[in-house]
Amino acid sequence: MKARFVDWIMERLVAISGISVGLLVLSVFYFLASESRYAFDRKFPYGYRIALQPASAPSAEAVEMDPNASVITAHMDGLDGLDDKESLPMPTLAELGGVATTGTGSPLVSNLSEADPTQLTRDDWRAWKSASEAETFFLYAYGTPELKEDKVKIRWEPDASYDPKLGVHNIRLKLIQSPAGITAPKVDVDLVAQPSGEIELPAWQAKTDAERTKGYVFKIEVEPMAASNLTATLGGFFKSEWSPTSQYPKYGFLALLTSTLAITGLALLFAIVPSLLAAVYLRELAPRRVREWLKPVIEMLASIPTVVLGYFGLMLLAPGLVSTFGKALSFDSGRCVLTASIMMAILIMPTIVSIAEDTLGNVPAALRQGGEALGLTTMEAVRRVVIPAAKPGLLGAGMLGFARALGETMIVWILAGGTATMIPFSPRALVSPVRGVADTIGIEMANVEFEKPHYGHLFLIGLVLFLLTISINLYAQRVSRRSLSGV
Amino acid sequence: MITSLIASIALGTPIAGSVSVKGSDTLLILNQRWAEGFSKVNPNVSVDVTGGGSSIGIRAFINRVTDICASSRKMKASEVQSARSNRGVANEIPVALDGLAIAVNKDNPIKSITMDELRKVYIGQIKNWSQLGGSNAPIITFSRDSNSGTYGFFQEKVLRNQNWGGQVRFLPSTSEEAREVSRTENAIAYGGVAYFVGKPGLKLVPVSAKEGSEAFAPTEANVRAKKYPIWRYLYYYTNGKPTGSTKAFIDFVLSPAGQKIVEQVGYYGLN
Repeated sequence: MKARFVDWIMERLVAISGISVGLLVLSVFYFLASESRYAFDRKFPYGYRIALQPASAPSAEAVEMDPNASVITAHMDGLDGLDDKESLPMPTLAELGGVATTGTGSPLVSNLSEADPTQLTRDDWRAWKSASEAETFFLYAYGTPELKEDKVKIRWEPDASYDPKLGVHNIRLKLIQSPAGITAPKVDVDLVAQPSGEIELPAWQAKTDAERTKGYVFKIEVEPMAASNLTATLGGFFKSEWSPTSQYPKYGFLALLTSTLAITGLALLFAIVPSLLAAVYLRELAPRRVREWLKPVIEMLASIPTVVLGYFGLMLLAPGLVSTFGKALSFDSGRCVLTASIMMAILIMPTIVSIAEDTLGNVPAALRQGGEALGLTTMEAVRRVVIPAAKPGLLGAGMLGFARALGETMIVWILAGGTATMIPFSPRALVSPVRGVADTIGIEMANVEFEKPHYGHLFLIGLVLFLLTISINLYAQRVSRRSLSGV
Repeated sequence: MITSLIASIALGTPIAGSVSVKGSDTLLILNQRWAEGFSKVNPNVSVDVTGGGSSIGIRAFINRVTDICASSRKMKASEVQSARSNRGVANEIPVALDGLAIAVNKDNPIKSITMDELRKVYIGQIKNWSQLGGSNAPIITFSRDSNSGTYGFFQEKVLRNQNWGGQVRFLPSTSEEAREVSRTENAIAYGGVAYFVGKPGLKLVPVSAKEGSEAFAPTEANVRAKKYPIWRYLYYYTNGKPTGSTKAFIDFVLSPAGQKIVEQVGYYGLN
């Protein structure tokens, strides 16, 4: 009676534990997926610098160098309106006197009739907008009475770190008003197709400060290109530029994913052959006493904290590689793909050895004996009978090693260089600095603002990594099971 | 903390309690020294110092989990706004002056560098030392990672907010930068002067504001005179005017004794 009760309890406990572990995986998945939603709160900044200059001004000099250039922008630091630090009034003729002969200013409204001439500012910094919102900026451009040339030019360039090609807006610059008595050429420029440039216009002088708004008036039209915030966010996600803390954040994760796959793939390449050979030795050739202590030692390798492996690589392997191959392969820093993948290979070797050894052990003794009965030597039996029989399981061992490396954070963090750029498709890739998916989460989660797009994107890349790892694991298990069930 | 406050009121001791300081790694050593110096005078106040980077400190400040945020850059408008929406008022207190040094390997023949050249090196336009009058070798660029206020300051002040080049390696601390430069022949890195001064194997390159103008080394006199172009204040941020033990700690930091510690650590005092 008592024994039966214990059985009853045990049965329930076992079932509950089994189901809870399954639920745990599901809840991790749910958590990652639900936090990822903040990625889609994304807003999409843009920004240009625009200046009116005398026609003789050097075109090689960046518009940024013109102290009177206007900045038309919607980005992170833009509030609706300007904060004290950035609020520079549109320059008066007296201020420009002796310094410059042209100036620009913006009315900070989307509708020209609302413009208050006394409230004009040089820059127009708006709060950033979602991908589906349109916006209009206006820009007044004028010469001072000191302007002697008969031509001026309107010049524009993207704000620093803004790449119009990665944006989600169509942006046009149009001339909507010319000064009285002046016939100007038509100005209608696609600022995305032509991010920087200049157009000459007849010169015009404002005689008084009140006249500054009577000269050229440009309209900058910002129109959404993407259907919705969702498609725009996904569009940005499947790009290769990752710089979430820049003024114009970029959340393209392809470079990170490629780097992770490259390091992991190389690690598998380095680890697979020695690991399988070691497994064969352990199972088939090693005397029992050697196997009894060697296998635990190899498995102990798996218990070295990866941060220790990382610093081992940094202190010994990286300088060693540079001093040995640095000249020949022309690389100077050991923080690169090669170092990270070698350490990663060391990390995954015990996993592969251990699983492969178990798989070999599961090959039915009858098969082996049958081979030997046919007169094969031990090595021949291994080569012709055991390995072919265990092949799916060996493949599974490799895949589990691969999956283990995919999620590894510390080794890549310490050794790969931290550079979120696309790995070159050439042998240089080996010595290039990169950054992977997991270490990016590690580095950036520490200073991310909660429940904002950057935070959401870190979860989104975590989710992708999780799905990748879990599907490889599941597949590897299916493959190995096929071999365990006896070919 | 509440019990110790009650105890201090009961016993009539002037101040007791705890102060948390979190943020900039540039300020980390300094914060620790200040905390040591302060606790000698006020043994009843515990000062809890953590690093991690300015952005991490500012994040903690916005989430209101630290008394003092130590930052090696000014807060951005968006961060002040975030703090405000959490009912926090950013009160900015400059606590020290710092020059950002440019370090290269000691065997590098380069004599000086301009701000513009520095920008081009870090955005990836200048890739070889020969373009800067050095030997024909690729430039290996090191930077702090994005958790660092020095990173933010450098990107704003030197890179003028342009994107980092594709070959820049980002390291988690300035001392790692120093080590990499000392053992990598063609390396360049930037960081607070205090982290580079006296480190073997590297040299600090004089910097000129523009081409043709005189280059200055990051010495105290040059930084104070603002002749050396890459200087900055290091800041403490408190929520509104500091009170209680936080105020006592900041008073100590700004006192002659506190500012003497600044000089000892290798930064420059405010006066």
